[in-house]
Amino acid sequence: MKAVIAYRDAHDSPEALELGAILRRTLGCDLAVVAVLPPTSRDTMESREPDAEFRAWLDQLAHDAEAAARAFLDGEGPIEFLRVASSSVAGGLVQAVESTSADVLVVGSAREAVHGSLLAGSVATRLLHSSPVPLLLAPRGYHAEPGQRFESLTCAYAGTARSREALAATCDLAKLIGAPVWVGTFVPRASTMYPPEVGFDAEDMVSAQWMEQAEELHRGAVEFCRERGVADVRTFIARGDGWAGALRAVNWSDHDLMVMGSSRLGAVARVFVGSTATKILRYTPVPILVVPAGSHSWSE
Amino acid sequence: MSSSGLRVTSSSVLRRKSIAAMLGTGAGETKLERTMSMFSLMMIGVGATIGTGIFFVMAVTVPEAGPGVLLTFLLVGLIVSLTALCYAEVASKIPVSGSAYAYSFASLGELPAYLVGWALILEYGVAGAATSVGWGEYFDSFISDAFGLEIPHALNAGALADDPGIINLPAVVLVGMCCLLLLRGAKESARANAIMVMVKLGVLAMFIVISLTAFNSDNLTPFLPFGFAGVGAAIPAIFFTYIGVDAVSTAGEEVKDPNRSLPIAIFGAVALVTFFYFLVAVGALGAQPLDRFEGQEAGLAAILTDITGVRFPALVLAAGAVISIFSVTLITIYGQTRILFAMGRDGMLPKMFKDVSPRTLSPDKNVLFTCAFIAVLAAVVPIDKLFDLVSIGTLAAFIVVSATVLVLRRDRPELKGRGFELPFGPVIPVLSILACAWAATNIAAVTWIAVGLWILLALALYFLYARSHSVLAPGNEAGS
Repeated sequence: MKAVIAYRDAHDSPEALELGAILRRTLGCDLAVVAVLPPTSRDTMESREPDAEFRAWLDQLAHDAEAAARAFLDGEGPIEFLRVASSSVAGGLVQAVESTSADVLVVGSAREAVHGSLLAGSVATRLLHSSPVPLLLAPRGYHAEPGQRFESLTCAYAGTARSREALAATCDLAKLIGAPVWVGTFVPRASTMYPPEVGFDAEDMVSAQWMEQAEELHRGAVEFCRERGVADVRTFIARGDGWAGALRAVNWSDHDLMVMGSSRLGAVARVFVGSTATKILRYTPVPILVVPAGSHSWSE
Repeated sequence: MSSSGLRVTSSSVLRRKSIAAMLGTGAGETKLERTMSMFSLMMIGVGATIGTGIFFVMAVTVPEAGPGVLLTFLLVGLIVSLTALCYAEVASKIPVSGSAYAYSFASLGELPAYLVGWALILEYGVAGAATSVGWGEYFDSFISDAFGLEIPHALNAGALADDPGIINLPAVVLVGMCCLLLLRGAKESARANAIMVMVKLGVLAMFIVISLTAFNSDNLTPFLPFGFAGVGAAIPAIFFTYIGVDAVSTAGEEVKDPNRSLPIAIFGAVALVTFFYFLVAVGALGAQPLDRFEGQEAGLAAILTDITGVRFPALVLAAGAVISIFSVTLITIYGQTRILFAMGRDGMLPKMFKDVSPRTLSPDKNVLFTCAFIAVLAAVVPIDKLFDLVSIGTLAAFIVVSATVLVLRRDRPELKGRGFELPFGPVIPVLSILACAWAATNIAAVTWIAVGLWILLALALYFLYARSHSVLAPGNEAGS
């Protein structure tokens, strides 16, 4: 198994590197750190002077990134470093994934994100709906303890086709690392409509109904996991005010990894369809593996 | 029939849902502690009420009552305050969502609750259609003043209007926009509501000031051209302008010191609303002769144009109306979806009304069905016919809630001392029932026939479907 880690700036906070390290400890996979930098005249034509300063700066950037990545990761085993020239970071990462036949792509949160929250930046947002392999992300500032591994997998499950696919991926991963699977459903209580003509509690009724539906869905999900060869399956329903509250309602541990599906959407659909995936991403306190539809192929 | 309200007799059409069970299914551990000041409660009432009708009722009511419509406003304000007080007592004793439907399920029993649910479809669903049609008038006025565009009559009036068109397209578009927002789970926040209240009060204040500059007392005589019968005839449409005032009561459990604050907030809200309506009516009546009102679309904007001779004030008013009536329609349709949702959870309506979509986490099918129903009404039925239907539905709910005060006091003495209680024994609920019943006698016979058919349909569906699927039916879970 192989993971590609997106990392191109030594000044970036090292969440992606942290995640790569945990993944290697958990699965024993190979790591390739990829810096996607803009193409220069060297990539397109013979050396020309006007570009020299820019090229030198890019080279320095790549050199620093490589040094930082090696310093961070080499202690527990060698890594590969790749520099990809592409005007689109997302495109360059996909290219690297394909050329290295990686099984998972690790990216950090956007730099603008508040410490402790995950903001999918322009790159991650594009990859969420189009990556050929599952995508591993962590909240900004995520920090692992020495020797930390993933020991418990939580699948964010809503009973849709895409969350069933995520559940299949969770089961396959659980078998690889011998971890238990939690099937979890989030019940965010929506905000009250003002003025409250039918009462302040109208949305409690809706969330109570969704909880009942979730219990029903969990029965099928547990059955599904058992058929897929995972014996240790547990379920939870996390209810809270809004998505933030629902994700906070779970008693997370340092060894948790959440897995969630994501549908393949066109640019227009992404704008108009309020994606629950982006809400969960935003508030997750633990690393999250996003499985775009049709992207996971790893079994034993 | 059971003689004790505590026991759930599962064979009876009057089987009741226990209040404890309702609190269990409705509220969860996420329930927030809220403490609301009397002033914010009053503002909720004002925000929920102003804007439902004042922008369009004058064209319907003045031809019926003449300047006497001013008396109708006062009369209806009084009736509504009585009922709102009754709502407050019931809401504080049965603090659950679902408005009059939920209250009557706990007190009167299953069949009455079911019928109240159908009456609320008239109050909320049909009101949503009526505000959409009214919005269409102001939208037309707005784009005509702003861009000089005219929507052809065929696409601008319902097929059942006096001057029939094909479809009322602007109204349908508005319902469609609300539908999209509700499907996406949009909710109007407390802050957005506060802004809407300001917009509404702002444009109405502007109307009052400008219209009073053109005040001519000759327009107010004769004051009662159609006598007191005219004052009564205008009641149904004026009632429409007070819809939403019960929002104060449903929010009542949140207020500090309810026994003191609630009645003040209710009277305060009704008084403020009535004061504004009264001034708007005085302004409109003083500004133009009686015969100008009939059939006047986007009435308040039209009056401003006539008075000032320029388009700008009318444009501002129409813009304010377009924004605020949009919000009113959204809230009304939302209320309708949640009432149907509550009925779906009780097994009274098919499962599609309570199914929550895993993608959006909102009851998508319910929203789509509700919006389709409202869009059809808005597309074909003219606004004055809708007013009458809404008023019947609202009056029915008002009467039932007032009666619920009496029933709860008789059957559930253990609730005494919990929450807000009306003073003077049974006087206020009885007065409220009588006043609403009298108001209902002013509604045209043809509307009663339509409502009769509506109730027959409800009864048929109750015995064919709801009775056996209800959560209280023998063999179904829940119950007591």
